[in-house]
Amino acid sequence: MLKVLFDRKVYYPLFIAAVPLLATVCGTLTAVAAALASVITVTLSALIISALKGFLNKTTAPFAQLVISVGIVGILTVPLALILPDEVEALGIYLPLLAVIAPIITDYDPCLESSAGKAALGALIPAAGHGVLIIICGIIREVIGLGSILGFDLYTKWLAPVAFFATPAGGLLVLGLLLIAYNVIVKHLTVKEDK
Amino acid sequence: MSAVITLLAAAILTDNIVLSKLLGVTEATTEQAGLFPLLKKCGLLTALMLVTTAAFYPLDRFVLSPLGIEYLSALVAIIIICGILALIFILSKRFLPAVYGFISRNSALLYCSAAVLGVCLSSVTYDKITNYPLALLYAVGAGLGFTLVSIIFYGINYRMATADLPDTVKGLPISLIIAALLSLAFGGFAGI
Repeated sequence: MLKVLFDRKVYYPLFIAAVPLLATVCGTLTAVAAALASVITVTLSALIISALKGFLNKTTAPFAQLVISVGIVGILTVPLALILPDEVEALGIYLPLLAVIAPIITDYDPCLESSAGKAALGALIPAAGHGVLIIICGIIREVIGLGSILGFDLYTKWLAPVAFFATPAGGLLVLGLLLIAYNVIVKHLTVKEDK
Repeated sequence: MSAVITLLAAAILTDNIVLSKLLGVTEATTEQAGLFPLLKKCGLLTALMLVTTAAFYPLDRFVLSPLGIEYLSALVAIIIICGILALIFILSKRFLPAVYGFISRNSALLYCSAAVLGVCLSSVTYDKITNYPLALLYAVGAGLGFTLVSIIFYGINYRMATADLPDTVKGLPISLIIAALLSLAFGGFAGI
């Protein structure tokens, strides 16, 4: 099971899918809102795709998921705006963009060949990985770029935060460095396993 | 006239769709077979941005906003994108088989492009856009900005192909870091 985490075909799409959200996710709470929306959208849309598997195939499933995901995000925005209103406003047009992110993360084999439960689990795990990645990026950017965590000042009285990390460029740099760190860990663990 | 130039400059440079809004980053940074296929792909994406914005903007301004149902704008935009692409597929298969071949090879790029959906949605939320011609101009400018970044990355990927990079850095990681540096550089245009 853990070997899946070492497979570039599994974790690279999660990093690719995280890129658009980095334009606005530069705080922990915004990251939590985006991660929550991503997990719910991907899992629910995979469940619906699995329910419709009699009418879909591997070619048509991504397009169906596009339309289903945007509908789910539209409905999800209402309760999310009640719980985290400022964060949902900060996300803006990037919340509906989860619709185009969902086909990148979803593996259609469990959706179209297995039961609904297995399809949901098959979608939940990569979506949760994607959510964790966004939250980690949000935390790093908030701590280094804004000098705070969850809105509480950490060190701005003594040191100026590096504002670059609060910009989209900083988000790309954080993601790139996280990916390099993950590649190094995977390489180290696979070498250890081969020995 | 100054509004036109400001909007075009913003769409291509300061509010570049790839480097400022981070939409279509992986499409712009992936390696391409050559400069001409890259330009064809960018031309197709720009045309799609223009056509979808042309269809979406009036729908949002004259139907969704007056009825107070702007929350459906994303759904409407996706349906417009899928509908226009389906129409292009059908017409090109019938009348232009060479174009059909090219479009079907790039269908995933077109349907799942965050850049196309992002341009559609930005055309109604961007504060510099106050009327329909400016929305169309913004779509063209966004496409030109995407093309500019793609050409820059084509040159960078060409040089990186011969660079001695560690395995852990090759490919996506170094593309993200270079995109970060380019985004920082393009941020300098904001002072113009």
